[in-house]
Amino acid sequence: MDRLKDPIELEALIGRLAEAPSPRGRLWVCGGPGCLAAGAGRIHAAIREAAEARGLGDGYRADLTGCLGLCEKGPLVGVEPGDYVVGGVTLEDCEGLVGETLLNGRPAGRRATGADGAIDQGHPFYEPQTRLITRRFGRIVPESLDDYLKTGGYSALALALGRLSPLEVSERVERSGLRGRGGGGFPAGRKWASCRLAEGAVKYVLANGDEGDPGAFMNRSLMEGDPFSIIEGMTLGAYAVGAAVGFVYVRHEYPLSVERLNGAIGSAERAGLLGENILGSGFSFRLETVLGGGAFVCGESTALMASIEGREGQPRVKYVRSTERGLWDSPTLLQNVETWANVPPIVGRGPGWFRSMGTGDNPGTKVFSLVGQVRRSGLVEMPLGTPIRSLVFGVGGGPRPGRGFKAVQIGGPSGGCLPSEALDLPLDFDNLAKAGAIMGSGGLIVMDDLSCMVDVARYFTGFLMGESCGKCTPCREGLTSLHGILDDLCRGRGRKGDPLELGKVASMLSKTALCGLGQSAANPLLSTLRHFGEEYREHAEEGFCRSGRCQGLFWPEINHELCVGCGACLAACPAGAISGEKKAPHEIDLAACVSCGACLPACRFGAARAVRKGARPERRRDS
Amino acid sequence: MSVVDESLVGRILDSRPPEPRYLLPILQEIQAAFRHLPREALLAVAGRLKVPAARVFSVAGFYKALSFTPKGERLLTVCQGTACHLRGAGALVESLEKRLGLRMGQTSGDGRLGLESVNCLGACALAPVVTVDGDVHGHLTPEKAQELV
Amino acid sequence: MNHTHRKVTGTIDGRKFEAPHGATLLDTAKGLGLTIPTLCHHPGLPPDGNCRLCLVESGGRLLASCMYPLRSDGEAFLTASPLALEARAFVLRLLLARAPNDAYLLGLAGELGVGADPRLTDGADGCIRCGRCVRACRAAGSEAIALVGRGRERKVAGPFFEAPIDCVGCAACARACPTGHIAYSEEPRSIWGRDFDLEPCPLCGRPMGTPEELRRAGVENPVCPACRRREYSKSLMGLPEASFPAP
Repeated sequence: MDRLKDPIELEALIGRLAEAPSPRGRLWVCGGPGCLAAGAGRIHAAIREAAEARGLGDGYRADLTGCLGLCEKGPLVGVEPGDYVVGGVTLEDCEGLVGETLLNGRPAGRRATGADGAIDQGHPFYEPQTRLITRRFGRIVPESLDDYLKTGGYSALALALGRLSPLEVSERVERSGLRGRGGGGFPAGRKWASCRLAEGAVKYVLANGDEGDPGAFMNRSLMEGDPFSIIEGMTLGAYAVGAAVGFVYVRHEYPLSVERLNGAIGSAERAGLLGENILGSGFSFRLETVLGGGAFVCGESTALMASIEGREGQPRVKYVRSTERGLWDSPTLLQNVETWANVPPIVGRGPGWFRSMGTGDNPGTKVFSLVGQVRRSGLVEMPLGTPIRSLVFGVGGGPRPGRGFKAVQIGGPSGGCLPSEALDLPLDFDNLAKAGAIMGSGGLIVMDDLSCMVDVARYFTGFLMGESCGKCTPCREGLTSLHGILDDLCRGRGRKGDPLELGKVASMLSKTALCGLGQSAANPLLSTLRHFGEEYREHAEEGFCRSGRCQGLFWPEINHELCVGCGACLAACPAGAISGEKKAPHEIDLAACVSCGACLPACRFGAARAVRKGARPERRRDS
Repeated sequence: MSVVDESLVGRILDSRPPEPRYLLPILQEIQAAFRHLPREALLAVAGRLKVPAARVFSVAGFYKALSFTPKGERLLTVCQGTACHLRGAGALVESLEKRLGLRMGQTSGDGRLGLESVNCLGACALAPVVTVDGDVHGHLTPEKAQELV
Repeated sequence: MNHTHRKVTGTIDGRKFEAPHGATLLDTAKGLGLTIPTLCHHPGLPPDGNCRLCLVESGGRLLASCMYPLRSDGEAFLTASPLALEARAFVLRLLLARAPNDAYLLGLAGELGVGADPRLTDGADGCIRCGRCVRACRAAGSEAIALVGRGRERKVAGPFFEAPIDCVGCAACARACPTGHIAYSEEPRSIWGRDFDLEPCPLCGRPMGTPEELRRAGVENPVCPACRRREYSKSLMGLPEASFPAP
């Protein structure tokens, strides 16, 4: 593309591209993290090959696109026209997808997938969603600037550089009520205003793409599915606060995100949308990506800046805000990549339009990754304020067959576990904080009745212990102390006073740690202690794990009324302790049972469950 | 361990301006080239960027993607994300450690195979997952994991 | 906005203070004669706020007094509120696990009635990871040592966990260490497993530093600090040499 001379030329180009005719048929291979892992790359190649073999012309396309959302049924292929998704695509399906679906418009055989029906916009997974940040996933080739422009991309920058002053751009964001999507929901506008007003010859804008929360892939999906939206948002931010240089900090495990962003940055530069004298406005902005080194703590703002400076990712005491003194001691505007992607539509369509989504104090949408013990894992975008229940049960379909809901963990290692009583809470920054969780970057992990809350606390505490940078005393030493107690509880070495001790140490850790991550490191523990105290008491006082998760702290039992004799538990038992004829209730021989719990998740009928050891004879010592 | 291709280190150093901010990217490229950070290379980096050796060493020791000892030629990576943990990643780890005679984070004596963990791969719908040289294998059981070896 | 001459007022433990804008809470408290225990803080080094011993309460929040800048009027701080004392006791029991024999820590622990965390006995090497040594080394003009590793594995070390190659033997690190963890000898000079020569002062003949240290300082014809003071005063006032006691 030739360099665009001014905003008018850009607007004209956007108009021309939007009016260009669409291909007659189009297959969109999902390029989300889940589908790529499931082999989407090979599917895409096979589809291309099948299309080439048939000599299909320009009227037909087959491309990799952003995440189509329903990871559970991946690999996914989206179909146009018809606007539906084919799930569970195998290499053998590709020929048919080209010959029948693409060419003849006949829905693929797998279109009707079981009880859920067709996977189209009416499917329970898609129907409740509001797609703003993810609106281009399944609509564009992520690295194509033409596709981005065709779908309205860069119209906000054209407007800003053509008709708005930096102050007016900033004011649109300030009035929108947008809150930071990466953590506790700090008002974005306050950051913008503070950085805009800060004194400094040099200022920076940064994007945090260091998505370190286990079970979260929203930011990756965004960086790989619509990289230009982040770049345009940052360009608008730089214009508003007066920055000439920006960095996107990307998690080490996401090389494809870096590749996509770098590709997009290059295209934007060639088109005159980044670099010197953007659109002839006199405004210049240079953007670079920085690859992280594999350190969770670098998601913390000051540690992230230290890492960009080429140092260890150590947080610093933050009594002076980064908007005053940040990267290389200059005023710095740092936001999560999703926050940045909200900026172009806010500037382009105005704060009033943005506020029409979500709630008064929590306008807009939020992208979530819904995973764990849920029927439909996937990437979901909902208006803020949606009840947790409609996400977990509506979109996600609730727990898997035979299992009951226990908790939903929200916000990653800095977040918390919420019980079923919290399901009707609106998902917004303030309600989550009150309940003991945080929005974080938006990871939702569903846990069922086989998930032990003490084990979950041990898992997160262990994760954070391994990721603690070791700078401040409470986090460095305190997490190890907490993990020791939790490990004892899960191994049947707990003592009566342990839950109380955990609560005390955890609450002091929250109050005394140096950085935000340390201060929130005890949240998984504190929230499970608060909402599932009885499980802690059982571990500490009875040596009992009701979830059948902590080995040796329970006996498995088969409820003969529920058992259908499917044999799944028998197959899963590593000790050969289960016997029974097909279609007849099965038995567990406790003399042979090793109390590992492998039979429990194998049962799809809820017949196998964990019971107290005291209720049954102890296993023979000599066995 | 002086079998370091100095010209390769030199090329990596030449590819960027000699500024301290490029310390991490340079170390990452050296790691990619040698599967670890050879001592000579670290000293060369310190000299070129005019960053004290102690700081180069501490940065190298801080980030998980960097290592002082060579990583395995082939890598078996067990995802330890929350979804994988809930769906039994712990049992996979036990089974693989036993089968390979390696602990997580270790490399076999001949340097051929490394066993590692990763915090999350974002393939949660396939949980629990293990990657072999980047290829993802999902819905694993301890038995199926052994077949990967 | 020029704050250089602005004053900030507020109270610490109920006592009014007036401090220059941007002064730290710790220094201001000291000015009032109040004592806040510190470990990672050293008046001659840049503050780091990592040990968390100097936490002070303000409106239910705990603040690291060694770094908290006084920038607005009317703030009230409590150095010995129940929360502040609880925090201090918490931090102390974690630090004690690292340096169980340190007299300063033991003294504070006695006052607050706490002992070392019983679950953390495996790391009692005497080092509390405050990094004063590292900051002292940097302030002296080298960066021979660093804190290496993460979490509880983190420790002070030279490159490759060996005797630090850039060390000039000035022993600034050992003198800055609050727990006496860094073993060294003044004369003959030996530190970090390395021995150093000591250069005699050309005027009085007493050892004035290692050759590497003197080279780092970059002074031509160096003399020891005592002789330098004496020579300087002499040149300034032209007083007879006898007026100055020999070092």
